[in-house]
Amino acid sequence: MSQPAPTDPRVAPATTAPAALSIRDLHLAYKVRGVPRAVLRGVSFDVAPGEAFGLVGESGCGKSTTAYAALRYMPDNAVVEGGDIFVDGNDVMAMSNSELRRFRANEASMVYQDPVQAMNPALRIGRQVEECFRIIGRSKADARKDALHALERVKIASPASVMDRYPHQLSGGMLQRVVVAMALASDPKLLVLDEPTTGLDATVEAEVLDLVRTLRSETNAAILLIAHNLGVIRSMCDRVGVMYAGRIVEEGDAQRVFEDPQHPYTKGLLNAIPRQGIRKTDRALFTIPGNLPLIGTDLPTCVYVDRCPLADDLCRTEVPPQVQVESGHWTLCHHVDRLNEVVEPESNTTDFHVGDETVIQLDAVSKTFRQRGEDVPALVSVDLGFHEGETLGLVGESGSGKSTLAKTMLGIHASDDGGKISLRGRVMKAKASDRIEESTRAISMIFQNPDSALNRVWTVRRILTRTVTKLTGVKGKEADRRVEELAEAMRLSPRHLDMRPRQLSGGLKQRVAIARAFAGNPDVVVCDEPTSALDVSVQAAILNLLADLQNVERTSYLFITHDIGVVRYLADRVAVMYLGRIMELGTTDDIFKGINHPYTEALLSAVPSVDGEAENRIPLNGEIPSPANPPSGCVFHTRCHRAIAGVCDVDEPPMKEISPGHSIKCVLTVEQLSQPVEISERDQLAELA
Amino acid sequence: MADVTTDDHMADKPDDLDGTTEIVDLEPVSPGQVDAGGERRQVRRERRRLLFRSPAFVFGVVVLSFWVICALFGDLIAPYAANPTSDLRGPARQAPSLDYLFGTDTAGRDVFSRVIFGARSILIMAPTAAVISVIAGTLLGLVMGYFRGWIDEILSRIIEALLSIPVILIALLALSVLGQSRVVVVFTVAALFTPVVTRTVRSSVLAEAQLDYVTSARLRGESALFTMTREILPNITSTIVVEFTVRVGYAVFTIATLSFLASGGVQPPTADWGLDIAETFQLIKAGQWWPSLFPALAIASLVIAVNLVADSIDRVSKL
Repeated sequence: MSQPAPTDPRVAPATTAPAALSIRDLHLAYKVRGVPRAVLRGVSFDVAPGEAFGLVGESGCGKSTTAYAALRYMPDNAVVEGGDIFVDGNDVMAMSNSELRRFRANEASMVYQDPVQAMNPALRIGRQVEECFRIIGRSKADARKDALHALERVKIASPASVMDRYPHQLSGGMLQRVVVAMALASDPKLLVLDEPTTGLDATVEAEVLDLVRTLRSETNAAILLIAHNLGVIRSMCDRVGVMYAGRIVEEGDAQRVFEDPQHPYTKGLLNAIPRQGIRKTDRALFTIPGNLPLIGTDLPTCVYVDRCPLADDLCRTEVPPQVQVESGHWTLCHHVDRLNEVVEPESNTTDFHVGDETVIQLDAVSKTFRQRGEDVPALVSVDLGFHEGETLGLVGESGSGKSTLAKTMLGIHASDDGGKISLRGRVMKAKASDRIEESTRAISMIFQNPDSALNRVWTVRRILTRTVTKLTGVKGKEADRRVEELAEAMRLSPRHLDMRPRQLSGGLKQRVAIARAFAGNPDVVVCDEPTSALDVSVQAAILNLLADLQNVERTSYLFITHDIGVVRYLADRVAVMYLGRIMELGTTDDIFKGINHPYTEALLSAVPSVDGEAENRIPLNGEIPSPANPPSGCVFHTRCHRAIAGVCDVDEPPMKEISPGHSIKCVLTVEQLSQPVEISERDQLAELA
Repeated sequence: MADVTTDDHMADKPDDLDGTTEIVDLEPVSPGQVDAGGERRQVRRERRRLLFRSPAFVFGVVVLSFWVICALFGDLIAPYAANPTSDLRGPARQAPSLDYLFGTDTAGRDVFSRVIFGARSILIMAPTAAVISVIAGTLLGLVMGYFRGWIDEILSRIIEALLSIPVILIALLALSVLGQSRVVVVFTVAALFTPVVTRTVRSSVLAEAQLDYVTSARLRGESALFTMTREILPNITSTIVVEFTVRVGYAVFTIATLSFLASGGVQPPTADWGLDIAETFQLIKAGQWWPSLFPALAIASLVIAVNLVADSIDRVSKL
């Protein structure tokens, strides 16, 4: 891999071998209510032909704006204040409308974050793929053949039948493959992927990434990949640019940057992720103080200065130089030599012990929805107990019933007759509205998205006071006192109490939501992906807070998440769900270090890690089956790489304990499960459900 | 409203940027930090500035204020009385001139003065009808959108049925049954607009009820009334304000039409635009266009002005 020289905004692109994409000192602003607000503040980088370049950063850093700008896709309120964009030597900014059209049809393509929105829902897949070939001048008959071929190329099984389907008939993963096929139709010189796997499950994400990796070796397209997930970038890209507040602050070889970061921000970001198997018992997560700067904020010198532990007067008066650390790896920092002063938190001395008392016990809890006269069992006979002060992690693909389990426990959905949810030994009513006050107080919830969870027009004080009064009956002065205590415990300052959610950052909003969840001194808090809407640096602080609160309040958590790293960090026990059933239940060590259910095995192997490649990835065939008619026998046998025909498809295996506290729902023995598996070529195909 | 269920955080899309939100945190205080109400005031100020920079809005406001002033201080502006006694009347059927700006009608009354006095009744009736319909529609919309189920089903079908019949037809029918007073006209128009308002409010409530803060309220055991009026209602006020301004425009038009059809609850010789047109439009054939044209222009200008204001407010409230 050729390593282009470090980019310098003052030097024009080399005229000899043009880079596939070259962005020079790009300044861009968005006009919001008539005022231009700076988004990009001098972005420069090159992507060589055939190279994969990744842009990482937290929300608002301008990475998507950069990606869209590469193809001159800009919203109406965008103002380019300076800079150049060259694709294969052509000046994109200077193109006329018709040239731009031709350029986008032939030379550059884009894969979007949400494949559902990228496809026209009213047209068949075939027609939409053909269109990409028609537009580059193929005849109708040729286009059809090409389309078929393109779908084969992205490893879609039975492409002919897919051609006749409508987008809603395909899953997200399949659609994203189709979008990739369309993007590659013109054999582009530049392929821009904007968070291509963000909306997908880890298992599907892994498949799509595999596909892009394979295709990369077949074409000579340069790839610009935008992702907030450092693991995705690490597994896909040759080089990476770390963006912060509209600038690239560090650029270099992906592996080197992630292993030996040279900018305080990159280092902080990497330290903030729960990784390398660390647990809450080991140490608190590293947090970056302060907030991401807002779009349009004045940042005259170093963009990171307000949050940097190394910042001094020099950083506030002079723009940091581009310091070359090694060939092709540079950083924008005055104090590269002082980087070792950015230290990880000390190891934990607090004792996270789980109590013996069972707080909540679920016995044979099922939930069946009725849809168009059909019974859809979303939860099938779940047994689960929570101990005092315990975090139970709940993982599984979307549609596995994680949220249904949480909502049934909370009484948002009434469980089916026959099941039993008891609180400290006393059976609770199925519906929240029928429950006695004590039960309402005992269980609360932290939602995924604080914007949706907090009433926009209420002040923080009102949100908290109302909840305190409603749940504990405390009124007036005493309620005020309790609200202030809560705020303090969440590290909210008193002035935040008189603000409305809109005025708070994402992390602060989530703190308010957590404060509300703790207002009634709950016994169990259901956390439904509480950090997935937050940036990495904010996530760390919230996870630390949740761990601290649990330690003080002795609360139990039901922690739902897609993020394996987060589960591993926070959970004491983990339950793995599939099609409304718990397939495996064990301590965190059992799950991550022990023998696993084949489903868990596949799930864990799919996660792209910032620490480097997982050694042996097990693909999951096809889609998660519809809960309305689950497969016979073991519900996982249709996708299982260890399935035994004639056994697994006949009887549903019972939950069996393979070691104390570690149960799996599988007929195979521990010895059979510890055998490595051969992955056949056929399994690499994405089959239709 | 899209249900945000992406399993990771949202990417920074260029189109959902809102750089004005002043975000604060506990740690390092950046310079220029604002107090609690500051950010809202700032947004309001920017919105106001945008509004007043929009020519459509300014034009609408100018025209609207003109008619409001006419309605309030008609006696000071109008050169002649609306219904002068016979010895004070001017010459009949005069074309527009400096003495009689809009000419005079068959009875020798000054058209300009009658147009100015005519603003009063419509500017009282139209907003009143709009207010009533918005209140009723909001209540119904809240109940339908919050409870859904069979209440929603039944009311939705009734609304669809009502909306399929031409407004003027039902209005004429209702007025012929209930008698033609101004009060009846106002309530009839309000009743006719209620289904439309209900539908708009209902869809906003449906979107709000999907949000987790409503779930959260249910989980802590709030009553339906509390959730509807204290949690949801304050979040849909901008929809309601826009709906009100739009309804005022339609009410002006509907009420003027009714009085043209001699069912407007206004009896001659009271000055009223619709009525005046009705009394004089046949004279157009005889070449006397002015007694009907000027009231017609008055109606048109008021409707357009209200709509321009409504559109601008709608646009800015979505920014």
